[in-house]
Amino acid sequence: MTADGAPGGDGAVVFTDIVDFTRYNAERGDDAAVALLEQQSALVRALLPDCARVVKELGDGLMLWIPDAPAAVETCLALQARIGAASVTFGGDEPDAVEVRVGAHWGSPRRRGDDLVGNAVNLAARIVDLAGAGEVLVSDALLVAAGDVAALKAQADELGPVFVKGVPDPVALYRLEPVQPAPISRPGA
Amino acid sequence: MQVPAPVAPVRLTVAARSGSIRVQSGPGADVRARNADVRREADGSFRIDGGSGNLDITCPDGADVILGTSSGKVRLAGRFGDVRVTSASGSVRIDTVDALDVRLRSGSIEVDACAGDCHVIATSGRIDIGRAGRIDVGGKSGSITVRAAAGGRISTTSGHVEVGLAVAADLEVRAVSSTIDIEIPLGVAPALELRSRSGRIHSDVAEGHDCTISAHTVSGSISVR
Repeated sequence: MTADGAPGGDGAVVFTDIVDFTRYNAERGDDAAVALLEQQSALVRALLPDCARVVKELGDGLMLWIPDAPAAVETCLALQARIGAASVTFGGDEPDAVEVRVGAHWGSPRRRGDDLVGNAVNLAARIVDLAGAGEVLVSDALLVAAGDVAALKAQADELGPVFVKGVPDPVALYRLEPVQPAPISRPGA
Repeated sequence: MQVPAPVAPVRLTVAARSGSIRVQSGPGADVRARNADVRREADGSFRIDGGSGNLDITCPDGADVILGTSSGKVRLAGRFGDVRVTSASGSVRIDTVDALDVRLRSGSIEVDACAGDCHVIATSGRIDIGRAGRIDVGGKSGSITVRAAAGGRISTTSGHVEVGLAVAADLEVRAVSSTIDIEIPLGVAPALELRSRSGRIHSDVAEGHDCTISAHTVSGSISVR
């Protein structure tokens, strides 16, 4: 294991968050809520490229590490497409559309055990807070690292400069969308 | 006869950490700012970077505005095109836009009219929208009022939700502990899908198939009229 505080290398920190999880839990009960979290976790793990990992689970969300920018872009879009397609199966006998929001940033966090810490993590967490249901929001840093997103069948729509606590300059934020149905196979597979 | 080439709308990006920002549109063609420099970008758009003081900006009617700030009041007075605003806290007040995307952590949002899609996300604070096209509103706490929309969806955790439809269009409202009041235009007969675990459900509209009104709340009453 890499020593605590060591650079984790460059990569995408991705946060996911289930929209309206509180309502889902209140309406369906604890067992259904746990089942939904397990469905989300299994679905995301199945989509991750070999280089990536789930850093940790955070209540109704996940923190992911994807040290390959094009793969991060593809994975974020594929995740939305897969959850959108699978949402009708959530909720058992009473299906209820379940959506997630996704936020991602490219940076160099520090390792702490299996965890990652640092400004890149903080910024990615702030970005997902601004995302709406079914959206993927990314920083310009991830887009620059990914290169030509059109080649990844993606398009980026600028939402504007965003000020984040602890970061001196505004961060340009983009909404990432597929230009055609997102791939649902494992990136690179 | 020579047909003039279409004129691309003016695009303006504003970034300021704090302080109030006022953007006033008008019939002139100039973009001007008090307390900040206006920079012309390679793509022809304008960029204004402010600090923590108050910003006063003027731009042509119909301009697209992308604005980011950390805190303070944002005021867009006049008529604008595609408007996008992000802010951590403060109030946002907008007159008339073609399309809107506002993301705010805390504070109030007030919009008079949005001709097209109206996308608003606010963690806490009051949301008040007058006329709008399709709405997509996400809140957590604070009241949400939409006077006349062409359908869409609203999702929140708590706070009163009051929404009126301007036309027969599908509407979805999801909440945890909100009272939901929905007003349907006269003569429209919607299919109703209303669900509340512990609140009263009341409807005095004739049901039909003109559109679908779906409202779920865990606690709180639902009224359709």
